[in-house]
Amino acid sequence: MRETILFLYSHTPIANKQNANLFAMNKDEIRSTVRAFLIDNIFGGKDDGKLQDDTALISSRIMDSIIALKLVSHLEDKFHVELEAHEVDQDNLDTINKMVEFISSKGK
Amino acid sequence: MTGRIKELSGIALILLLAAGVIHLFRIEYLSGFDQYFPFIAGVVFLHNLFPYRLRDCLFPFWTFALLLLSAGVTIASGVLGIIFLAVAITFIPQKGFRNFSAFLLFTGMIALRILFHNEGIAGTIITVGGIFIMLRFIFLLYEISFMKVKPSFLLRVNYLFMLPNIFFPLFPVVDPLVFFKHREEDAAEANTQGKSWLARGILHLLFYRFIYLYIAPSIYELHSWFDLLTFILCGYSLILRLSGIFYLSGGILGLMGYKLPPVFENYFLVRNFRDLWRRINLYWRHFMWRVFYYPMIFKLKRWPQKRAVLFTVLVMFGVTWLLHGWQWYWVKGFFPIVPNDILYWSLFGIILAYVSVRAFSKDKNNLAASPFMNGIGIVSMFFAMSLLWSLWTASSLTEWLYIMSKFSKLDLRDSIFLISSVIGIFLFGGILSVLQDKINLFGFFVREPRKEMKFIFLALLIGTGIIYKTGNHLSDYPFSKIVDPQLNSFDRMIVERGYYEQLLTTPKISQEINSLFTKPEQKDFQNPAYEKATGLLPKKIKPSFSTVFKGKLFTTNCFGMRDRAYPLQPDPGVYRICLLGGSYEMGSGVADGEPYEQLMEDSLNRSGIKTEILNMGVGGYSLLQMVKMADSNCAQYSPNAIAFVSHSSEKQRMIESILDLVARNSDPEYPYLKKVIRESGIASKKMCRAEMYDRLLPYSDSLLHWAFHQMAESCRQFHNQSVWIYLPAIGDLRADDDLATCKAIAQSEGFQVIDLSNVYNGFDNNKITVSDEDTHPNELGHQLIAHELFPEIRKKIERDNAEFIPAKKE
Repeated sequence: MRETILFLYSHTPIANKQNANLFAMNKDEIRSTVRAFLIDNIFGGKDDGKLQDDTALISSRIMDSIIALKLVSHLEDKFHVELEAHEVDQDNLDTINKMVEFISSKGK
Repeated sequence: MTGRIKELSGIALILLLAAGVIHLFRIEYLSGFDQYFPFIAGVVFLHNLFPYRLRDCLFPFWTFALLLLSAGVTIASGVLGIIFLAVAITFIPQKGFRNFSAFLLFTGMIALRILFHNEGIAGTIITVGGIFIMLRFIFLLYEISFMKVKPSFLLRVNYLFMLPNIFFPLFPVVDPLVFFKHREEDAAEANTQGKSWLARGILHLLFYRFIYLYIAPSIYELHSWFDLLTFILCGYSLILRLSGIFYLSGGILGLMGYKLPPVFENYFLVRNFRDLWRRINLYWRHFMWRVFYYPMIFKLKRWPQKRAVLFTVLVMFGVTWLLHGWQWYWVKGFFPIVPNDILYWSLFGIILAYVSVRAFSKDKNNLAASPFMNGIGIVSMFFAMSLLWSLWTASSLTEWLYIMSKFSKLDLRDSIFLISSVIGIFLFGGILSVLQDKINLFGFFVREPRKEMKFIFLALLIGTGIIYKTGNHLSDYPFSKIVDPQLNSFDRMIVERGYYEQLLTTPKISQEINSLFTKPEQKDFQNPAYEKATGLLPKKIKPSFSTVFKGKLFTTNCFGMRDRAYPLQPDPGVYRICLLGGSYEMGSGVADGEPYEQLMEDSLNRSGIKTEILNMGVGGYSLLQMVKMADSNCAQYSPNAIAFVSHSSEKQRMIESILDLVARNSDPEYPYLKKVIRESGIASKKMCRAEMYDRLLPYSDSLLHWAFHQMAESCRQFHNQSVWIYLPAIGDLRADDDLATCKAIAQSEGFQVIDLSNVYNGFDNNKITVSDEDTHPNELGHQLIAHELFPEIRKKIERDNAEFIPAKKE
């Protein structure tokens, strides 16, 4: 139901950013979305505890440019935010914690 | 306080040990790094004595001081001026105008470089300035737009004006964001990393040297399946030099407080191309991601994603090729457009584009695989990269195709050996990987080494170096060339060939030769006393000419000989010898009066024999040119004897001479040579040098016989008694298999043989050569040769021409 409302609402002429923010600010949801994506795309769908919220992904070269790009696309679709090319870096996307903060700040 | 003293002692100790190893093993001697490292070490230590807050101010001062020391005040100031200008451009607020100004700066520098022909002080300033800013300036220009906190002028200068870049033109493209973020809290960690990287860089460079000198075969030695396999696999291993240089550079920066991310990560252990791109030259990858890949793919957001990825990756590899050419332009002075270079980057780009699109299409990516398959993957990638690398580093596409064609020409037995070996290596890789997974086979090597290990490693190296250097004869020790480095046999042959001009415009040469050419010292081909000749003689010496060559006075007589003045005909009672030879005889790198020929002439005259030795040596001449000289030039001087000198590997030298003759499209003059060229089917436009060499190799024995026979015929024309002298090239790694053959042929043709094989015994090469890069004998070397040769020549005169020996006083 919630998804349907979000879908309908997000396709009204009202500014997307504004309506997306209602949900994007939910850090737990961002965290779980990001985690699910990373487990699928990096760890073959197995959550064996290797991925922690502070596990370095870019600096330790676990996440490469392809996964980073898919992640960006995924985040943009899910949270209706728009990322810039220069924002794809360690400061913003190195750990789940950093991603959560970054996406939340995008929605503010 | 105790902690601070301990930290400083640790830095001092590692710098001292590194300085010892770098000095003893002459690490990176071709760039002069070994000579300047004591100053670098001093500067790094001094830097650490200052409070952290002052270090940013001091950093450019140290770079400037070292540049001043190595290049002089004008060049150092000029380069700093370029850095200031580049930094000033980064302060322009408007992005478009900023980028346009940067474009103008580079264009202006290129124009000036062309104007000054890459030479002189102005040319050097532009070149060195270009090397400093060629990539980091581009990176900084991109990132500066997005930095929330803009770095100060000083920090920007520091980023562009990095100290190790003075000695290493190919320098890691450090990320400006990481560089500007350095903090006092990280300084201790940066120091620890710096110590490790310094030791690791040295280790990589020593491994590289071992492979370069002792394992990698020359393209002229690929006769069996094993040679071919070794050639392909060794080529890729030579990337160790790049990683060694990057670790040394990063190590120095680490010890100055800059903590940098890893440069490479076990790049020999990659499992697939995607993994390779993730681990090899990480700075380059990051630079490409930031400046080209992401900006472009974000611009293509409206495209279908797979198509955008495919297009971006392909464009990125095009840009990578361009930027490699850009680097090459600043380091060497021209942009290489070479088919195999383009093919290499295209292949690499297509593979990566395919891998990327495939990865992008997968819903789930699992980077883990079974240990056995991991092992197989690692071996496969090593083979694939070795093959690609051999394509990239081949001197031409024709040469690479020729080498590859040798695999198809292997006989059944060799093919079985080759295939079995490759399968064996694959299985071995798989099994090792399984063992590693089950019992942590490499645990000892893989785990982070103890802090003390780097000190122990360097101390052991110092011990080894001292033992080697204090021994009586360095060459008696196993692998002595690791301590006393030089060019390997193939590079040495290229340099000795004498037609160095070609190399200046040849993009594909080894890193060693490239280092040699980027040194300011005068090269053999740059002797202003040479002039072009025709036919068999590629060049001759200008008559009555005086110049300074390699810093020494070089004067020629009216006959075009590097010698004193003589009459055309000898005076009565004077014993005259025409000495034919190459650069050793001409005295390349020594002053007038110092070539061994003149020393020997003086000794003979002092001993009472009135002697004139006419020095007809010309740099780059081999037996082939000597045949021509003896045939057409010697008779006019009415010599009593002709002496001609061969150095090591005479067959190879003769073949090289014919190849150069064909490349120059000159007339071989002698029917026999024309026949050999015709029969062998060599044609410089249709085939690579390696193929032509292989085609001439079967004729090498008969060429030697012909050359000695021709010499004998020339000498007989004027009833001459002549001498063949064997004088080995100094420090030649090649086992001289030709000596016995040459000796036998010379004797059968009636020449008196003088074998000076042991002339350098008891002397280390660096004491008797002009310099590290120039292995011609220096003044002492010539004295040694004259000292050995004098009694032999005297004996010859006593035996054959006793009338010239003064009567003993009663």
